[in-house]
Amino acid sequence: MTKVFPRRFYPLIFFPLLLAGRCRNGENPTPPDAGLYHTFSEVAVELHALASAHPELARVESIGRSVQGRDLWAIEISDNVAQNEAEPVAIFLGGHHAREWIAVDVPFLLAKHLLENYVSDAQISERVNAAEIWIVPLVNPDGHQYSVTTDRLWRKNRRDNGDGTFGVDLNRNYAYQWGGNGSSGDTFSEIYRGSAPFSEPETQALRDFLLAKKPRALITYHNFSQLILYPWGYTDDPVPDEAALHAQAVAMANQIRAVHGVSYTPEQGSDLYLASGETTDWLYSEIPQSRPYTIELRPRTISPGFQLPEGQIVPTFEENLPAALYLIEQAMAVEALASK
Amino acid sequence: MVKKSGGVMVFLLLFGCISPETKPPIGKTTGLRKVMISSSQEVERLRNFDLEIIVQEEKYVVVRQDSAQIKNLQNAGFTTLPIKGSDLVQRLVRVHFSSREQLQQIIDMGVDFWKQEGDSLTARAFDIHLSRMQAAGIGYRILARDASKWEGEK
Repeated sequence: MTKVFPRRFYPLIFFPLLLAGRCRNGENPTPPDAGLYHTFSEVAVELHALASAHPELARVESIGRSVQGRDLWAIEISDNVAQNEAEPVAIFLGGHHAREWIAVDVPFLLAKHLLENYVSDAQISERVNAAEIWIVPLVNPDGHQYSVTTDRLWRKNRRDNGDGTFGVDLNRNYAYQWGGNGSSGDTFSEIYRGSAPFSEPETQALRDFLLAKKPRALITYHNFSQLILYPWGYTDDPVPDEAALHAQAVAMANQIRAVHGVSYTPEQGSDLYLASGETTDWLYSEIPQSRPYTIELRPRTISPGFQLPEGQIVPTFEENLPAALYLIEQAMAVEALASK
Repeated sequence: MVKKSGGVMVFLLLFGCISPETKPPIGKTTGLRKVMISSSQEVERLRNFDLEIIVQEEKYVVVRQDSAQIKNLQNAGFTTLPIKGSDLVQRLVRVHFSSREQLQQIIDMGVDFWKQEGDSLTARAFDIHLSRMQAAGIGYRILARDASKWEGEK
């Protein structure tokens, strides 16, 4: 897989970032190395490099900071990116859960693909011209860093809970139905919901960002199981426009399968089990026209589970690209209908 | 490209270093502690202190206790220590359930759900979760004593 910077420049670019990482977290002096998967530093450097290479189409900003002070980097991709145009917003999030490395690389590669193929691919230029696309590849940078350096299976952020334990499950910390089924009040639990709704700076940043952008479409990437989930997650009751959400999920599943023949199952979030305080339920409760989805990426089985082999990074991105483009197109269609 | 990114790097370096670590709540008295043990009899003695045992390993247990209980344990001759992340060992388990309600009951205990297949789920669980399952009459099988060392299905 090619990365944005030539490898010979990496020491020059990463040294300051590595220093910054060390003095921030004080956890591990070893330079993080996730192989072909992107670390926090690599995401930061390569997002900035993408924006520098495509200044008319992209800009990077920090939407907030993590518990340990790392930036939550977001890249905006749109024509006339410096101007504030009235365009439908589509947002792609990755890496709520630290160990789900593929869920960082898929949205990052989406940003890279949109920018590098804008000129040559009419399907992409059409979307970039008509929509405002935001990608936040790494929502939980502290947890991800810890997963890379110390504990591969770490899930939560790195909040010091004050009782000897660390971490809040960011995807149980959103306010809607916070504290209900599928979350835990035990600080040591991997699904610890936090001390209060939006107790974490990461979810606070996302809350403010999403409310400001009012997206027409959102995908938050996770792994694993190959599922396309839509609200509600906290109850078996359907959302009012369940039929439309399900139809879009089925369409995305069909587009994914058409690429490499891999099946993703479309279903309501609660079909698996009830889970409360998660991203898409909260966004739907705030902005019902937002069409939010959780995509659980490859693999389907617990072997390899979270540790998807590097050779599957690109195929996983490739199969998810048409679904992402489809959802952007749907956001454009809804906006066009609404403006008539 | 590198030159333009240089300014960003300097910015990250300067401002990335001044963010303070978050501090734990002040005055909190309940916490997790590691208690050293040398025999199964000592575990039985520990149970008399009405503690929640989160993890039970060969040479230590991790318990949730308040400051008064720590003092009682120390008075009884136990050595208690602050925990490290690596002390919080989790089991990888396959849990059998008989209904959707029971699946939800297991999830709500706080286990780390990995995958459902038919009437069983694979999850990471602390020993306290296994105790809760036992108390609820839910059967499970341990696939790995330390889930982080699990090498996949053979």
